[in-house]
Amino acid sequence: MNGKERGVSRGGRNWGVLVAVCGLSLIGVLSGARPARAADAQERVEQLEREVQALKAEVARLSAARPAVQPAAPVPAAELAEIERRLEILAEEVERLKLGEAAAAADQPAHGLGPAASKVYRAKTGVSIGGYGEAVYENFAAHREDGSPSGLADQTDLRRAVVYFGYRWNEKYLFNSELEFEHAVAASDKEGEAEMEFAYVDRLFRPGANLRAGLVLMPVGLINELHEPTVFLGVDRPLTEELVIPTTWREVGVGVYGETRNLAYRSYVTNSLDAARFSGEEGLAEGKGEGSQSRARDLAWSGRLDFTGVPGLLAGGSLFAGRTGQGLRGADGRAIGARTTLGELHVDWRWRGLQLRGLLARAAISDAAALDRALGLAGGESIGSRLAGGYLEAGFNLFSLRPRGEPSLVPYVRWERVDTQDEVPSGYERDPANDRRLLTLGLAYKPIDALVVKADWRRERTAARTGVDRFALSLGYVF
Amino acid sequence: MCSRARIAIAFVVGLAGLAAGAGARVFLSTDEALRLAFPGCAVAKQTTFLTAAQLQRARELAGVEVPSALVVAYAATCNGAPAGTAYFDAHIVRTLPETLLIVVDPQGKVARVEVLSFEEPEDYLPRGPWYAQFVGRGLDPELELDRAIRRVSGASLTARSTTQAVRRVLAIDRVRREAEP
Repeated sequence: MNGKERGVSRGGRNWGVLVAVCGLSLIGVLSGARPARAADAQERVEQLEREVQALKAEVARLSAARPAVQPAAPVPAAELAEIERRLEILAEEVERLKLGEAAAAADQPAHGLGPAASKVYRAKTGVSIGGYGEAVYENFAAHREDGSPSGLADQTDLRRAVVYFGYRWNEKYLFNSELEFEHAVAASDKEGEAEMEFAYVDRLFRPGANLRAGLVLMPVGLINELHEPTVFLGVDRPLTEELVIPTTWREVGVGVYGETRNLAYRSYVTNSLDAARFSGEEGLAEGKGEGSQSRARDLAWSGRLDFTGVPGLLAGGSLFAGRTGQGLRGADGRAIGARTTLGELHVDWRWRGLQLRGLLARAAISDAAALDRALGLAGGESIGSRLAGGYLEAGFNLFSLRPRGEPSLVPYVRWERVDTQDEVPSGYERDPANDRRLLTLGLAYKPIDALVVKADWRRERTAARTGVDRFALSLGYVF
Repeated sequence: MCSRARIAIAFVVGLAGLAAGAGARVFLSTDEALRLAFPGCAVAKQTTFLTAAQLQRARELAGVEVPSALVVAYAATCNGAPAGTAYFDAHIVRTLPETLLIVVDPQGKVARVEVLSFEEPEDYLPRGPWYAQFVGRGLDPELELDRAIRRVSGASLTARSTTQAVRRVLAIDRVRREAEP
């Protein structure tokens, strides 16, 4: 029923006075309103709505009762108009509180505003808090694929508990950070760690071009920037995005980022990796600086370009390039450049309940032989002069077959191959144990989008027949 | 040193170019959003107080919460013909609010979805054409994530809250139409 058309048809001075008193009381309440936290605003909206409803009910009651007492008394048109005017004021105030900042006047005239300019974000100062975490249970096979004991113990672990903390000073500058606790306890007799996974300042100009500086997540791969457990399938992150692309890879630097209607990009200059911490088995994983007194003699560039022009599709690639010697010198005293180039292509496609994901990564390290000699590595321990990995992943939300609802149940499969010694310098040997093939079969259940329970079984095979199968359960959350 | 110098020079040049082009800051208010949705049209504000029965029906149709009986709609008329009705929907995405403009055409289907404000980190905001998926959609079982609406990798909560907002607005619009004489 339209408020302007609703049946407030008859009344008298007594309920007019009541309306006026209530209206003035509400306006008095509203006059004290200030920009407040969302919860305060919501409470205020609810209170206003309750009072408007009570007002309406009282008007209706009095209207119904009025004819019995004074059946013929006409209501002055001016009084009715005044009541309607006050109700409109109250409705506008309720709407303004609901919409918050968006209801305010624009800072600039609307001329020149096109579709691309419509995705702009009202400045809002203050603190923002979020977080995520995951707990896992891992059950390893007692034997490796060649029948020898695996030596791996089953375990439970609160892998990570993370708090996002951000602050927006104004519409131009904001700070964002991620504080992570790994393995629950950080102590001398435990393996837990407390670390900043990113901490940067953004200078916002416009959607197409913004500045970012500080400890930034490197824009490489599918997982590194989007590593919340509700985002990816599998209890474990793909091994390619742990060893070829270091997992949760962050460095200190500065760069630009932005998006157009169909493309999104990042371009950063940071401190480079540290080749002295590369290894044949774990690839580039330990070479990341993490913003912890990282060596910065060598800088590096990393960039990324994604196509986002089709709903549900993300396709693109990224590149990291730079010397990684960080001043390391060989026995002859000459600096080792160790130029490292890491490139990857990726695609993520969602269509109805189907989700497909694939990634192909390859890294090349120059001067690998000189690195081996400087680090005292021999034989199969050699750093790979080329590392390669990739995976394909598919899942289907069975609940998408139902009419509607938030829960999802996704059986998934991932096939992956990764070799951290895809090629080694002459005079060295590849360790076949580093040539891994993994098949993961699992099930992910989300009662709501922010919670996920995963169960999967992973078969691991290596060229040396050292693979160990494992079953795992995990609980992940994000807020 | 040479490579570092090249990187530094390239970066400074890039920054200079960025600074030269910076400054075109634009915010989208409710008034601007309405002008963007209905250029050159007459827009009439309509305030509706849903009855308890209407509110319940809207909830059933939407399949999501309809938190308020107070509805403010903006009906547009272009060249003498109805051009659609706009609604603003404010809701929480993760822990912070988002405000959307949702335009419903005279046939009861989505004509436009625009983001007015988004206070979560922009990493959680779907990009570009994702919102176009809603255009032409009516209130039916297909209007759900993993059905006609595709998810966004890394922005599922925003995708969910946006889909729910569209369902809510379409349900309210239908209930209002049903009340028309």
